[in-house]
Amino acid sequence: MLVLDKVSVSYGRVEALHGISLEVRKGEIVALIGANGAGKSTTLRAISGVLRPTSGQILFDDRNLTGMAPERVASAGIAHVPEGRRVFPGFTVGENLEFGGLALGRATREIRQEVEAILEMFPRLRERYKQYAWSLSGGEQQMLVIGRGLVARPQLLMLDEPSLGLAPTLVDQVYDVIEEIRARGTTILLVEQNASMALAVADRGYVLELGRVVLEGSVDDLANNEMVKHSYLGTGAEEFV
Amino acid sequence: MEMLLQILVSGLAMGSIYGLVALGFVLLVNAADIINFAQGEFVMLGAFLVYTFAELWGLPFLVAVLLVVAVMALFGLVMERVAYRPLRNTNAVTIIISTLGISVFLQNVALRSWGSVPQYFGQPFGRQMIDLGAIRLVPQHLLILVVAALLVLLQHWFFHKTRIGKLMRATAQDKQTARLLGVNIGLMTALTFALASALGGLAGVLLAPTFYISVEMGVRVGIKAFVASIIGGWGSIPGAMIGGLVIGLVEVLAAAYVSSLYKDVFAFVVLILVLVVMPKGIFGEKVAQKA
Amino acid sequence: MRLLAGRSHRNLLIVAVLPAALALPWLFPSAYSLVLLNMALMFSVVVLGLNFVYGFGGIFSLAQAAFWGIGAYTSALLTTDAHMSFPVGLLGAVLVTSLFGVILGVPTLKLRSHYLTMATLAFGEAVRLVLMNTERLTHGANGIRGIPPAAFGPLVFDTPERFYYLNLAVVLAAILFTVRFRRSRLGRALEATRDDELAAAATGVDVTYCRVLAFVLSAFLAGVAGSLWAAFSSYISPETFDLFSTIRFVAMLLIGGAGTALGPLVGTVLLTFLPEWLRFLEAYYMAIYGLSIVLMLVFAPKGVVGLVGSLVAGLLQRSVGETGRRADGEREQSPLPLGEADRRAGEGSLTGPEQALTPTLSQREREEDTAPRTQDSAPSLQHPAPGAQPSLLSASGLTIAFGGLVAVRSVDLSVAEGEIRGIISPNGSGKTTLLNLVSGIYRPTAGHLQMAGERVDGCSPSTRVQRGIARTFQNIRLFPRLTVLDNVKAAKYSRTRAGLLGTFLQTGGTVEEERRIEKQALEALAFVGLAGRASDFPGDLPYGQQRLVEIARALATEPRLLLLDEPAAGMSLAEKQRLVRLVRALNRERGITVIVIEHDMRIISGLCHQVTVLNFGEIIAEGTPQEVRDNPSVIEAYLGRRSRVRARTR
Repeated sequence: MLVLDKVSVSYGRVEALHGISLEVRKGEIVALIGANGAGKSTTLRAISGVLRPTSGQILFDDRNLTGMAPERVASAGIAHVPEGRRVFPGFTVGENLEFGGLALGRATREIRQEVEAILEMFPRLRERYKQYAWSLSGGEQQMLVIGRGLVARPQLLMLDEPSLGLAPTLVDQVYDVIEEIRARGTTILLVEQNASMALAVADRGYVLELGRVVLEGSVDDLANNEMVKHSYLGTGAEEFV
Repeated sequence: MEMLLQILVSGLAMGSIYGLVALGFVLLVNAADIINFAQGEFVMLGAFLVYTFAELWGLPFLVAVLLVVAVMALFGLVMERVAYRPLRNTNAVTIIISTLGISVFLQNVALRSWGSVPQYFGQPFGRQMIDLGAIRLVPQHLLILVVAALLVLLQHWFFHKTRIGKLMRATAQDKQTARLLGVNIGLMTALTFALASALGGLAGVLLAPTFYISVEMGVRVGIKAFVASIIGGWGSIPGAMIGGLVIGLVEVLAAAYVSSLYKDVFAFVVLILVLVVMPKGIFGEKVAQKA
Repeated sequence: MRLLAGRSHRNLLIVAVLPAALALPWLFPSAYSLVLLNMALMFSVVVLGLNFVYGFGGIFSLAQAAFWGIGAYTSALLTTDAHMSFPVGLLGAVLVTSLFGVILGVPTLKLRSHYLTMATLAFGEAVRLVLMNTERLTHGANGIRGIPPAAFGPLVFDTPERFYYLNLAVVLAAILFTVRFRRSRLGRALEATRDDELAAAATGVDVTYCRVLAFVLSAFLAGVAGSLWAAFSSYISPETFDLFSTIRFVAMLLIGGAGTALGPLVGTVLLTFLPEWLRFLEAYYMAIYGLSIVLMLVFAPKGVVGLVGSLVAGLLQRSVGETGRRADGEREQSPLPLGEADRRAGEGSLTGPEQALTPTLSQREREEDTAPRTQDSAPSLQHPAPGAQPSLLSASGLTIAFGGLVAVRSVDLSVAEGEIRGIISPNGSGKTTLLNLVSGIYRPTAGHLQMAGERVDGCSPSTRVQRGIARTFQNIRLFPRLTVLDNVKAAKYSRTRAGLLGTFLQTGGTVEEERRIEKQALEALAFVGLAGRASDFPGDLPYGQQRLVEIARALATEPRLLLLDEPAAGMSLAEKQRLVRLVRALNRERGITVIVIEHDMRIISGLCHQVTVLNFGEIIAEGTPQEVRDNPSVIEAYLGRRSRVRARTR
């Protein structure tokens, strides 16, 4: 469904991605893992059009997305939920959710239906429906931005660090939701530093290091790979002692 | 008592003008995060344009007004292209000075086009007073109040009920996220410039018959509107209108009961008082009230 | 190497520029352009003043023309109505304007950004209106006539040529002061305050003093320029000192380059002569002038000096191929050649953790690796007996409420000297708030806080730094426009004392102190293994290294207690391991007590002697890492069902 072919991206004169190739198939959850600065978020930004690749191609269902503006990538069916729980603070929860479909020019009735479906999935958001988004807790805001991304009815949902800065109990909740979204048939590209979490829900994964894919494979292969075990999963507290 | 009522009406009318101009300020603060020093010049330009269209070219008043709105909206688009878009990744002060360059440009173009002698423009009502029993009112003041009230309702409807309005509000809150959700933010910012410019022009049309039209009128109104938007609370739309009304009322009351010489000082006195007592303005700077 | 380059620049300046400047009056064809040149120089003194407030202080002040006017009026009134000599007038002008600088500077402590700008605007307008309306003192709209020319005893500067040399001397002195200020303790503190006020306060900078100082310096220079202006033009009136001229000064500063030493002069000369060069456009020249301001900003958004600086830096880089300090104001370009940048970026990651860092740390790492593991390496602190160790920090009944919400509720905490204490809690349960209470960013609603036996709960953050409390921030708050080295040097503020005069005259004590600052800052950087990146800007460093710079900055304040707020967030595993070793080293080798907030339980377990668990602002458990991990209420509140996912991964 989504294919990146040797995509390179630069910030100013410094190249941040050096020819990344990866693939996401329909119905999969694919995890991108790696340390901070490895190029995970940059990869997502290149796909969603925020950054323009200096070389390489991005294909989505055989459409060429390379260099397309973000708003057009969004209409093509890709929802990018950026890191940092970027709700619209001055909109209510309801307005935030509706906004997921608003800019794409969906009919009001269609948006309403989709919002209703999301509220079924996140009962907590229904309780807060009329509250301003700034008044929500961190976990609720994370649910809200994921929900907002889903209202767009994307074929591909890209989640950037959905667990960052959340306490472990909330991380569990977010990952329950991700599993539920997969059950609805939405394809997911997941960026995580929390590798153990990401590999627990994903089907396949790519390991990024310094702007290159250094490893790819099924999650079982990755989880049993010595390098991944050592560098990203850790083997428990004793590692630090 | 009658006297006071008369004063209140004229104060509210002036305040509405300040409020409309302040509204333009606030829209640009929210959408582009800039202080537009040329906002006052929009008012001056609107006044001169309606004078040109209706008085010099003899077009019907309503046609002239529509033409002013169209020209000013177009100007807003051009200004966004020239003075904002190339600078949007620099800092706010740079952009402020750039709008100031535009302000100098507009003042001097106006000086060349219409001269330094103030012009009189009386439409649509002339300077006739109307008697309502004991009080006498300037019809233009009533027009200002009615039009300003309509515009406030209109913008509320526009920003809360229409799709474009919501897209603009989202852009004001978080550009990057709005973009990822499919909003063409460049277009939204350009539209905001057009809207702010058109609002300023319309304020100029309303203001024109109450004073003489002059090149300096923009600076006078612009500073007061700026003060109004601060008093109301940075980035707050209702605050801009309220702040404008406060300034308008303070000004006429001070001129009538204290000293007309120092009438301009009072706007700043109120500003300092508000900053001391309520450092965030009447409506505060809660994100909730933004956009 | 860099020092040499600096020297040769300075020699070039003296050899080539100074004679040219001295000869300038003979090179100018008309008396009129000499007058303009004089005006430009006086304006540039005003703008050099504005540079302190905006360029270094980041405060967008619209009061500069008012200061200038106050200076001009004070000097003019003293030399006319009061029949004093010019030096007295000048002295009076700078005293009065500096006083107004304080008067305007003090309210800025409360106001922020646009409100502050509005207050300066209101001040400026008020000054103009007062000048206009207090006729008995200022002669109102008529202005003051017959102001005598500048004279120091027999030296009379009564022609444009003579006045030019007085002007030149003043401008050069002001530029020299700017250059020296920038490289001084006070300059760094002011720039740090501009970049991040909160972080500056938390590294011991007296933010209040710095901001007021910025206003006073700007008012002082405006006062000098005002006094010169009055003497030069012999007639002044209120409308000269209006909002428009303030804004013109801001435009001059921006177009020349804010925060640079030469920018104010360049921008001022450019904008003063531009209208003359545009005269051929006749009727529309002022309109074009307005547009040219826009165009100059569009094409040189960092100012002419910034533009030239980056061009020169680009050329130098191409010819020398060596990294160096970047030109003033230039931030975007990376100073590193591409390959170099890549290699360096690699330092923070897994590819070469051993060879990457400076010998100091790698050596320590190797020692660590061969040394016996912690179980038996720090036994004395593993279970500190209650009451045995004197407690360094103790809180009792510490409470803070925001509105109705109690964020921290009567917390009793006692951290022993030499301990590493972990604090864990679910998100939003008050641990960062607790840290803010300890470091002084918040004042408690109730309760006491003692540091080394002394009450500190009423102290400002910078005072607490002096008492030995330092911290890092969860979301990294380095000063982005200072180099890595200057970031650390800024933290020496509370341990040094150089003042304005010493800075200007470069007295022996100041030079000596500056050398000490440099040495200690480099040591702190070397300790965290980043000495090699001293001249880079923080934004060019990988995330993990930025956290280390923050730790180095905190160490430079010579703390007894170090507060680390989620130091490992966003770090790779290798970086986390290095962090743990580093914290252990500073605890053992330097005896620094540490309080660390962290989500990563592995770090907490590996590092801490004692752990405190907060939930909803209250302490629910305290004990060794193992005790806490086994505590049922902690598992309930914090650890959650995490084990489930773990199990699936394995």
